[in-house]
Amino acid sequence: MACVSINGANRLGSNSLPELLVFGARAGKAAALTSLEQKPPSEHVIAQANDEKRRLEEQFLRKTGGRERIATIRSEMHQAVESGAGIYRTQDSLQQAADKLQELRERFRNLSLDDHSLTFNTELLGALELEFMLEVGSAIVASALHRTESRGAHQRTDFPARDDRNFLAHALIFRSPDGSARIETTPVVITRWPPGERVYGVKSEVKEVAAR
Amino acid sequence: MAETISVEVARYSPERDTEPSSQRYDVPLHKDWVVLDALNYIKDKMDGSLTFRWSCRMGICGSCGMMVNGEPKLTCATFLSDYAGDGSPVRVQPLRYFPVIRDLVVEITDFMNKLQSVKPWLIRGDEKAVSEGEYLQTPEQLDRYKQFSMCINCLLCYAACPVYGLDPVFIGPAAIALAQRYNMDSRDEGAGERMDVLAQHEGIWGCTFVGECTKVCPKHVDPAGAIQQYKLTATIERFKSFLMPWAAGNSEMESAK
Repeated sequence: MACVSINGANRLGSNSLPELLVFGARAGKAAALTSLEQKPPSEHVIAQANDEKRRLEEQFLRKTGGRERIATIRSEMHQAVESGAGIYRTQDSLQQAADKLQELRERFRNLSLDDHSLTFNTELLGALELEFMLEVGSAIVASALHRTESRGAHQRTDFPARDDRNFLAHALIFRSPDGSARIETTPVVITRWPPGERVYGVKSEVKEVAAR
Repeated sequence: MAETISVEVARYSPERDTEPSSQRYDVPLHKDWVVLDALNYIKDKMDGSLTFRWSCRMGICGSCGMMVNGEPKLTCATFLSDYAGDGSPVRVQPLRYFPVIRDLVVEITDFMNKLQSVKPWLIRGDEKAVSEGEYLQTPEQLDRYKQFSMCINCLLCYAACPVYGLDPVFIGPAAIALAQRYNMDSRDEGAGERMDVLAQHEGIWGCTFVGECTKVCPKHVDPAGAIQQYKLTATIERFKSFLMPWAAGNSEMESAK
């Protein structure tokens, strides 16, 4: 996933638009240029593609006997992430979400599809999206558990203060061979605007006067 | 037990079927449910193989257009309760006049090619350098094309157009309205280039002014109005090219902006 860092800790909904427009256009151009220079795929790439094809067939298209439906797991996931890792988070709420997501990832293996067609199979697409969302959701929850401070859109009510000494850093999350998450950090490059306290109302006026 | 409504959905799978059939599902009838909610209910709870396009659920993405009881509709903006009452099922079918890929999904490559052919983007003779600043536009200049810019490419107008139904070569309502969206833009200088495509028989002259496109448009774009407007422009340009060959080209378009 991309991290171009132009919004700092405040990459909420529509703040992502400049990122999408600027870096999306650059990524698209770069991808087009790269594809022009590419040689045909090597046998390793073809073998990898064939492995993935086999996985899709075994795990979804030709699988029988599963009992879980996409929509059930998806709505339980929505519920778990919204209540555990929504606007306000705590150790407890995040841990509950982490446990629930782990359970859902196990239940996902017992998924059953009605659609075994190879033509415009939107149910298969829905299953793959759900698999990705479960993984991304788990990564979000693991990073939020790790960050025992509050910063920007990440508000831990059990750690309300910003902690620059330990957490003025990007969290990078990796998938370990056993599937669990491993977190590393990389420093934030500060250019024009150092992080400051976010205050509103009278406090913000006081801050402005103090700055002058 | 909640009230229910029957939905009769067109089914077709090229791997299995030689012709389309229909399948009936009974779904809950909630007052605030649209046809798309019923389709998603079926897919989530009853039959995951039912296939249809959708995305935003709020009339912006233009992907959930289908025939509902024979009329082209955005299914996210069409309430089930409007079809309840007489006990007959709501019929949901793929958009008319397009080839069907599967169930309610139609093949839209033909439209995508037509759209591309009218060059729906700003064309400039000379691009200003970024340092020279923006291309300014007054509110009045914006008003000249704004209506046409509301198009979401949902293709309801194609499914409503009997001319497109008879002659698939006809470039069609949305593509012409989108060409006008740029022709009427004060920043654009591409009207001459677009005329090559639009002034052909398959362009504006295919239209017999039935007006159905404008009636079904969920964004009030008025493609029929765009086509009539362009017919006048093209006629003037044509006469001008006979009488004053040195002045033909962009002049009529440009003065209208």
